[in-house]
Amino acid sequence: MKYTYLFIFILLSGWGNAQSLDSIQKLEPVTLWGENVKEYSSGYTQKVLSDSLLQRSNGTFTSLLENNSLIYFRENGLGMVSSPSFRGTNASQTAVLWNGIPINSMFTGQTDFNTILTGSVDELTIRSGSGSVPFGSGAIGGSILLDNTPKFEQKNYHQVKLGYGSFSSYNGQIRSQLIAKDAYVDISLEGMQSENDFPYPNTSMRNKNADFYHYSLGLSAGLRKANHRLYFHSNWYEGKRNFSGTLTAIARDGYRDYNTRNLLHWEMYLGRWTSSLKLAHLYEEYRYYANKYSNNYSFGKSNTLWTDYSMAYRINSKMKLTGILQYNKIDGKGTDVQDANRDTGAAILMFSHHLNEKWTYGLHLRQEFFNGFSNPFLFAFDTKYQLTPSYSLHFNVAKNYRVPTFNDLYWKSGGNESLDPERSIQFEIGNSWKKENYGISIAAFYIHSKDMLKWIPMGSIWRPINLNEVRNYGVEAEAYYSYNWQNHKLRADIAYAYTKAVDQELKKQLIYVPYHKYTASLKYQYKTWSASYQVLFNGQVYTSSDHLVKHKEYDVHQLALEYNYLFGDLYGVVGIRIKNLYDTYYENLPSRPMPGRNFNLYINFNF
Amino acid sequence: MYAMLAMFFVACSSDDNTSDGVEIVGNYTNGIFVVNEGNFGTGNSDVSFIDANFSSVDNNIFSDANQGQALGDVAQSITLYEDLAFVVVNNSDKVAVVDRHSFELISTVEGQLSLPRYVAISNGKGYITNWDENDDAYVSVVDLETYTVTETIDVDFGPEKIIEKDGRVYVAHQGGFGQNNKLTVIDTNSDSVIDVLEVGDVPNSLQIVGNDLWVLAGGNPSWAATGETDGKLVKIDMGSLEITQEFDFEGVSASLLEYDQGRLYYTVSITDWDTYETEAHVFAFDPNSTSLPTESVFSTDRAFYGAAIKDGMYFGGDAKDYASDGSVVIYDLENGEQLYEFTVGITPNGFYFTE
Repeated sequence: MKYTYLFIFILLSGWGNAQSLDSIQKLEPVTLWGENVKEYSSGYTQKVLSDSLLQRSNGTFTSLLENNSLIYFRENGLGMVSSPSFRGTNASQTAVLWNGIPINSMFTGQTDFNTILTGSVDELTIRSGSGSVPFGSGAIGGSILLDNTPKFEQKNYHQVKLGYGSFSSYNGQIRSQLIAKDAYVDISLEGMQSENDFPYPNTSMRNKNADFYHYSLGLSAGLRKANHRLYFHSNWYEGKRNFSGTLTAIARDGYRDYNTRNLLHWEMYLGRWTSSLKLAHLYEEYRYYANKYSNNYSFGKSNTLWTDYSMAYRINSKMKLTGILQYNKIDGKGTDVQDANRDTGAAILMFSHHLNEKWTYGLHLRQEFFNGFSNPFLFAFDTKYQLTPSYSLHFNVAKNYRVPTFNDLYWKSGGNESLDPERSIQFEIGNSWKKENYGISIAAFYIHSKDMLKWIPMGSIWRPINLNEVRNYGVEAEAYYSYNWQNHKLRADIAYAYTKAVDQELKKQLIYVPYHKYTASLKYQYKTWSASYQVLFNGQVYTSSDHLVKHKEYDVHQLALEYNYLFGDLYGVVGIRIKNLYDTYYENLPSRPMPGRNFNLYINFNF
Repeated sequence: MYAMLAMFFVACSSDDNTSDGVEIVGNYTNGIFVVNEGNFGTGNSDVSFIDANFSSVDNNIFSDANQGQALGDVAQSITLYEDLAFVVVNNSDKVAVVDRHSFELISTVEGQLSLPRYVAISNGKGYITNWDENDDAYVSVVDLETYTVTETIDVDFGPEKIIEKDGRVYVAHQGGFGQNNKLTVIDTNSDSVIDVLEVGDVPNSLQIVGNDLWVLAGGNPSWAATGETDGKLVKIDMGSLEITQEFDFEGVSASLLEYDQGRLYYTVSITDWDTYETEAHVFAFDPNSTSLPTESVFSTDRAFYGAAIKDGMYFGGDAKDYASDGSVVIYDLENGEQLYEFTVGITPNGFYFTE
């Protein structure tokens, strides 16, 4: 039955959400680190989520990505800790970068995707596969890039977003962009909160102890004079969540996150040379309350000082070379981790060459220093060949790595200071066929990871060791079709991934990695009205490593209706979204039911 | 051979409804309960049962006997009392009270339980140790008519094992989230604390032999705030509540104090941090001896998550990778020979013997 939905859907919610990289408008010659990297990414699978999609997002970052990418999420209940799995890898093998700075937690090595608010982000890029040379540790399964783009010469712009949903959920944002010819300031304040006390479908139980709020303040500013550009990006975040119970476990624990990120970026253009200096400070802190009513908590906090200097040289119209030196210093401490610190230096060289109009390749190298690990020498090679104007082939191969986290190294009962980084060799081959109103792309990937960290019990304690060896391989396919006639527009999108992630000792699929995932959507627009229908399918997963226990597959559907209005200078969109349209019972993880049918209303004002 | 023997016993028991002189009331009257703790947060705990003749194992006996109902999140222990079994479900803050012959649910003790650990029965009342998530530890007193908590007795942090004798319960404070070194004595007539003794760091197990209470303390681990300490074994006279004998361990941590066929047993586990291999050595001694043994009676290099000693046999619960079905391995203590192996549920942590 669920497979038939694939072919019968009527509408799609992600209007143009799968823009290809080629269609991104370049606003400045070479600007931010994110874009710089994109210039070096022709042989990779990359997808940029459109502005309009980010605008409409009033759920969690997890639900945004879950419905619009092939990343599989393990979510410990709605809004709770959420771990991404890219191509069958784990959450600490997914790198998240904010304006080019890695922001994964120093303690867990992961980013919790339910603590990211995207209101102040201009551009969100999902890059699949290898990324350790440009992005550093953890970019094995894939990378998520959150970027602020320069806004010189644009218009002043103000936005208010309001949303209300089932289970007493509210979200809102105010954002102002004040822009002069050579300077701009962009301020955004946003928040989201929910009681999250939904009834478990078909039971008499409710989701308890699951309320949360998140607030974030973002500031982005730029100045330019002659050949200089100066940018400042800042983000402050505070979140409080209680961790929900399960069908059998009572919950009483609470969790708080505090993060600040500040980045100063100075760029200078000198003929063929571009010089770029970045200084950043990141602060992260978590507090875990075993009992939310008590004042006792355990915590971890870390400070990161980050410096990055890069020099790019355009050798000629076809060749470009960039050298980068990085140094960062991290100090961490916490209840269970004492005196954790790390200095890391890195030298990176990136070269790209357009051999001719059809053929491009790039070679990238990275070596790290100082941090006390046996640092692997990393390389990445990618190439793209444009056979015809509509058909292209791409290939990339790279060595990637992930360093152990502070928890792995310094956890007071079991931390192991003699760990080595995880290493992986991986490649991807793909092709893409794009015409005016339809496109299809298919890529196959292979990842061989060694020395993967695993916590295992030894005597009375658990310790991490470099143990696991895993091979991931599979296929990702995406297609879209659009059709316009008179005032009507129709667009269909579909994406499917088949993933094998095989533990080399057990010769079995890893637990919590589905073989199948697909998303599909159909959107119909008539003048100022639009409707979209969206399907998400997550396949069956094994929850025991001997494959005796399985967790059921599920599909969830949502329907959205929207009206675009315009009153003079004021314009925007008002819409309603119905999630879990058929009110089906499903669990993302065992014993953690997700909500039945629920609603979301949203309205945006722009002027 | 064992299979044939087992068949013979099964045949016998179905004929006259007895086995080894025990009247067979239900499927689980005579044998060994294995607590499968399951994975935290996933609610996949349950109980397995191995019959007294070691002929077969039944898994998921709680959900089988109760229309598929899940036992709960992280099963901790079982206490058998008369026709009842008290199954403590730690992360569900409850104790399931079942008919121990059928494992059908009779009642659930809930409320005024917080991270419950172990149960003892004294004076017709149940006593349950609770860590409490906020470290405000207490012992809950349960009315066995109504299965409700009638009272809580505040105790020092981290109460773990509890044992009953002559109108008193003795609570070992292993330390919960940290390390403790106390033993609390509670009078079960007045339900009040009558004494608190210091017994050594991290007391992990209790045994009663005659009028003596034996307490095994493993010592503090290296990451404790106070640094690593050596453990000891102490003997307490239950009449005077005085420590009458102490044995010190040096450089090793001992656990799993067991009493079987007139001898006390303890286990020392040693992990090689280069190869990550763990060996467990079982030592046996006479309760009247004046020194600890130097030679172990049994050793295994399988890392068992839970273990027990009974009728001259060593029962090990192998949790394997903690993400798949575990197994129970039974050895002859005398010659070290492996006698049986059974597949049980996820993370077998303890064994409870009928009679």
